[in-house]
Amino acid sequence: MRAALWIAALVVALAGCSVDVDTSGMPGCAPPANGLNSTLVLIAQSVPTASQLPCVRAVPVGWEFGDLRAGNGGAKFQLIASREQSQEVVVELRDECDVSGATKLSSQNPGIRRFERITESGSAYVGERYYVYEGGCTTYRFDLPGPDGGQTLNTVAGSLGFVSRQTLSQQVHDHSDGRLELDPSPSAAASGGEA
Amino acid sequence: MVAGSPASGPTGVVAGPPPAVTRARPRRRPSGEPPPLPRELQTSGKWWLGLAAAVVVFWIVVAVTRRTAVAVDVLDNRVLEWFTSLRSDPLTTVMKAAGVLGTAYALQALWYGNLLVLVIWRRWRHLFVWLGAMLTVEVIASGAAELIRRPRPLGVEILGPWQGFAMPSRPMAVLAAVLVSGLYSLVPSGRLRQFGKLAIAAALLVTAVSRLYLAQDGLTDIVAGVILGVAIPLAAFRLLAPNEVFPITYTRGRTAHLDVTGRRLDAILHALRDQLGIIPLEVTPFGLAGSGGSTPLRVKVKGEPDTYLFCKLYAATHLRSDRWYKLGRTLMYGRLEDERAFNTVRRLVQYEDYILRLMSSAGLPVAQPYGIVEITPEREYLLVTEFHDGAVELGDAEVDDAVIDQGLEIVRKLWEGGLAHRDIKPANLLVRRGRVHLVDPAFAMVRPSPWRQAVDLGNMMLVLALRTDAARVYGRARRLFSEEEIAEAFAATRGLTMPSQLRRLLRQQGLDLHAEFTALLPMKLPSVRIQRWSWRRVLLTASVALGVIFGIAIAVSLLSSPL
Repeated sequence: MRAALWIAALVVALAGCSVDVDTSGMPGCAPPANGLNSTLVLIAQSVPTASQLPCVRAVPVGWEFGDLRAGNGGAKFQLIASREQSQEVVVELRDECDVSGATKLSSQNPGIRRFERITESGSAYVGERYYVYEGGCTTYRFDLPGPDGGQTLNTVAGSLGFVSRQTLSQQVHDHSDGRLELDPSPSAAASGGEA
Repeated sequence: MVAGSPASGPTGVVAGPPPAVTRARPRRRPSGEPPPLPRELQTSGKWWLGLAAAVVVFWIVVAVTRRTAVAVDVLDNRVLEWFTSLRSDPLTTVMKAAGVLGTAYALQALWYGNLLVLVIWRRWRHLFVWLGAMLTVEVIASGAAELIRRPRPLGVEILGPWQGFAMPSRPMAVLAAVLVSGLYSLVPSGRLRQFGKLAIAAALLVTAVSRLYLAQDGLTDIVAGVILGVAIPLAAFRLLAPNEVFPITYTRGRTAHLDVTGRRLDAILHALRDQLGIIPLEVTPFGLAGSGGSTPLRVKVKGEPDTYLFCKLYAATHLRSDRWYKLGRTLMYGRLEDERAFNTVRRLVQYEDYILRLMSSAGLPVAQPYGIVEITPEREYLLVTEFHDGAVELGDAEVDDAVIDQGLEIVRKLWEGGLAHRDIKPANLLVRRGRVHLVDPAFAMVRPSPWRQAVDLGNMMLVLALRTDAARVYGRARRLFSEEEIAEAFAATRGLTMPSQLRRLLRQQGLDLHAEFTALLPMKLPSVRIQRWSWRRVLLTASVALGVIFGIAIAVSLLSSPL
């Protein structure tokens, strides 16, 4: 009982400290006010070569951020329509992707090429959109039932964005007062064992 | 001091003189003194739980303070930098091999192996504790990782596979939990287990070094994972399946029976002397084959001359068995089985002691109760009664008219006392020197329904006719019961209302005694319907079905991967 009281007191005391937690678990494009977006760091670690990292600017109204899965080799998260569960857009980061057969489109982001492959556009809007950049590729995989699927995709795509790896690296550096870096220094990476 | 007096009924059913047992003055356990068999976490268990609590506090601190979180990150980074400075291609190959225990395949193999052994040896208690501990570790590790959201080590190249957030290290937590659970559920206590602890420490150390070298986890992630993975199974096994109570053996036996050796035996000996003033000389298991609801014991005690007492050891396992048994009967029959399960072992044993005393005062030939002995508060109790030395089951005894009359008179007395035994079968009717004794009133009921009372009569007549014949038993029964009462008994007694031992004996002997009795009756009453449906039964059945589906889903999920 006494131990529990001590722990409770400690928690209360610590609660007064600068809180450094991003509670959403969402890879936001903007860094949290007092810290670092750890989810975005994890996504960056999943593909160490990726120069751009997918992020969420703001979740569109009527949509929810879904499950994030990240591991060595890639990361994936979803945006799911909260009312119509069948509508979802999966955002996946890999070091490369197959864009054969996809149409190249103009891109608003410098250094990022955009491709799109639509497999169905009648009663549902189904397909993939690719953003290819140095060291990585982000795929938006969508399955949007309904006649206005294309419009829905544009709305969702507008809520997504990219953070450059360089920006995130700087955030890690600043967050740790210069004591930590996101990636290993080139010399350390070169001297490491086989990857 | 010699205690005990003949318990004789007023109508000729004599229970015989109880044994002359030497009684010493009972000793009251003073406040603060531990019970005879305390539940112990042991010092190492307390340390590990303390460490687990420290890990939780550490998580809170890391989660809410930037400075601490960065300091921990820097510490981990410096450790990993030292490890990465050692990297070379050959060493990397060695370290990848050394970390094999932390991979999903290895964990799954350990997981299945442990599960298989526990199922083959039907060690269900260990299996459930093992599953519960693993599930708890997995849920806490995953939940904490999602809450803390600590990225993988920063500033170093990660060479090995990884999944999700880093704190705590899930592979290390699950590996530690699998190994510790395996040790406590598969390896007998003693030198082998001590050796196993060292082997586990070595395995964890090798895996940890591998993961640090490959930069899959930080040092603090690994430490937190290991503490969690050791502390939870250790506490679970020491509290819920302690070795003294559920020892690891590789001999098959009924799972309801508790081991009565070692610390438990010492506790029983001391408790009998302290609490009842009885001086025990020897404790041996007795009639285990005929008992599933408790662990029956024969205790040789000091007397003039030395004599025996009968003890039933009740524990939480028996309470659970009782609950499952009653739930099963409620699902099968509905509202006819309207009794409630007991909430505590204390209440279960108190009830049986009370019923024995009630039956004794009603003049029924039951064993004289000597009292209740507490072994572990709220968990284990011993019910002490007279031992019917030299008695044989009615199914093996010579049955004459006097025995038939005594058996029938037992039912008449039960009726007059407003009682039902509810488990009249050959094993519960003992004959000693021509006297019939009624035993095991654990299922007895006060103010039962008329249906239950009729079932007691029907079963008694069937048991008596097993060793004689229906016409003879019917003829003797007519002296105590009317034709209507006997007809009601056979309208109520059929199928599942008969104890399984009685049904088995009837099948073995190829007899249809029920039909023979019915043919003797001048009237035939319609069979009493056993099945009763109610909203309660429907909801209960639906809940159980949902629970089973949920349980299967969890089991399948756990079986597919421990990670």
